[in-house]
Amino acid sequence: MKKKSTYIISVILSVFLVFGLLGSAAAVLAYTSVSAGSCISLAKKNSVPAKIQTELSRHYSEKYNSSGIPANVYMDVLSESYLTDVMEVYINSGFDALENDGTFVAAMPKNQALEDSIDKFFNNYADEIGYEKDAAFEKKLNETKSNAYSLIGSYSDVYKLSAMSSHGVLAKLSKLYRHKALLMADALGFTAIILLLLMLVNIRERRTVLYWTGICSVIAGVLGLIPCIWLTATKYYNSFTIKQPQVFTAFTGMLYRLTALMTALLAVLTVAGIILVIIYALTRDKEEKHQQPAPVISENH
Amino acid sequence: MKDKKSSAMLHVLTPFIVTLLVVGAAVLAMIKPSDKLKVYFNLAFMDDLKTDPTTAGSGLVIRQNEIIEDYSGETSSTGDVIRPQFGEMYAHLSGSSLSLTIPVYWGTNPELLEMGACQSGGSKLPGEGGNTVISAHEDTYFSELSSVKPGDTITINTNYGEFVYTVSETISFVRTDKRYLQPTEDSRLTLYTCKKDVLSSSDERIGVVCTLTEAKFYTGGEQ
Repeated sequence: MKKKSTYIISVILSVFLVFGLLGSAAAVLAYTSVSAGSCISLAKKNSVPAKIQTELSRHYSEKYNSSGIPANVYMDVLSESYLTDVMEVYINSGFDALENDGTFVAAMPKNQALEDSIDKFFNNYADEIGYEKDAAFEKKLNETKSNAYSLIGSYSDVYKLSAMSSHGVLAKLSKLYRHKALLMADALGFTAIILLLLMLVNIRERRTVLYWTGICSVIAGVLGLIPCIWLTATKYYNSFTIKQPQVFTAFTGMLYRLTALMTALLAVLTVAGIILVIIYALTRDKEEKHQQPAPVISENH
Repeated sequence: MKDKKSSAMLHVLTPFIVTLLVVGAAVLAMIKPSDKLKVYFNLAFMDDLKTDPTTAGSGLVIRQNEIIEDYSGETSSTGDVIRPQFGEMYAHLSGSSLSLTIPVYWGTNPELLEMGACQSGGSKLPGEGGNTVISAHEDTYFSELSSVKPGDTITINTNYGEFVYTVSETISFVRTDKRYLQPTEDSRLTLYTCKKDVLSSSDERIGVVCTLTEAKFYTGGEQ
């Protein structure tokens, strides 16, 4: 770092390198951890289907006074495995939309037992009160089945992907998601180019590239770790405003997981940076000792 | 020796210089999008106390008040109303055929409907003259509304007066029919909720229209 101009250019390139390292870490994380498979496995791990079942049961129990349909008409036939299937359909459809043009289409799995249960209740009720099973009756029956599927779908859409689609958010996100591999390559490529430039600028003292890369890794690691540790320590995501427990659990579970992965990645970056700086310091000391002039021994006999 | 010392200082100071430059660049880059991001973050993570999801708020300021129900001072049949703010609990509603004393909030939104009955912000306050329109969920606060019949009394207690109404008719209408919710010349109270029936449409509403029979504005003097 003997020449001023070399030093200044290296400092400027280091600023870019820090951003490059942070961007690369985020891109790698998004590429490897944001997928339908990871969302589904995380939701299962956090028992989200069980929460969907509990919330549906609560909803139908609360609605009994207005609808007159006992909750068990629905809940006796809505198994956790069926709700898991519905949840998976919505997540897979959401990610399909992200990989295409953002158009969300979810084919709700049919539940014959549910339809039969609703048919049975309505027919028994109509027979009890002597209600004529006319066109209005059939219309009400079909409406009830359709509303049941619609509600189950809405409760099982734990990442609110259909809502995001209807608000145009999925279409905007799909423009990024479709090209996530390219974005990752761009971020890594940018970082590599900055490193190459650092090497070229410090061609007379190539060893100093270890120093610059080391401090940039440490700076990027520490600057990223501070907010990640704060978010985890303060349980910031617990203030997420959506009150439905299954949606809350799915979203916050995903956010905490991504934060934990980012923390780990940045910790590795920090440690790698420290190691590079230590190597630079040790090799620099060795070289300085080699360069020291040999002691002169006078010959006086 | 001097060179070695200054080189070591430079090696130590450089990371701080780079950090300052990085943070400075990041702050400059975030100046424009920060306002929009702040809005999104506030909407998404609104509960500063980071409590559990059942208590997380939506940003609406809900004000609970102590409502006077055993006023013993002087009253008058005319007086001024005290206009509440949106989300403020300003009255208690009770009735001769209702087993609950129902809190009444000014303004209607899903969060307030979970907490009590809601008065439409465009309708008149009790004692103001005109149509006072109050609604609530049929499975909670207005679950007994279907059993209210003509001749029953409904009492609304506020902190500016007590108002007694007598039920004059029961009503039934579809959601899109606004005739019972319109302003009126006479002082009346309109209570409504959804109709509960397995085979009925969810668009149907039922309720009661009540005529004001007694208005007692609190004037503050001792009797």
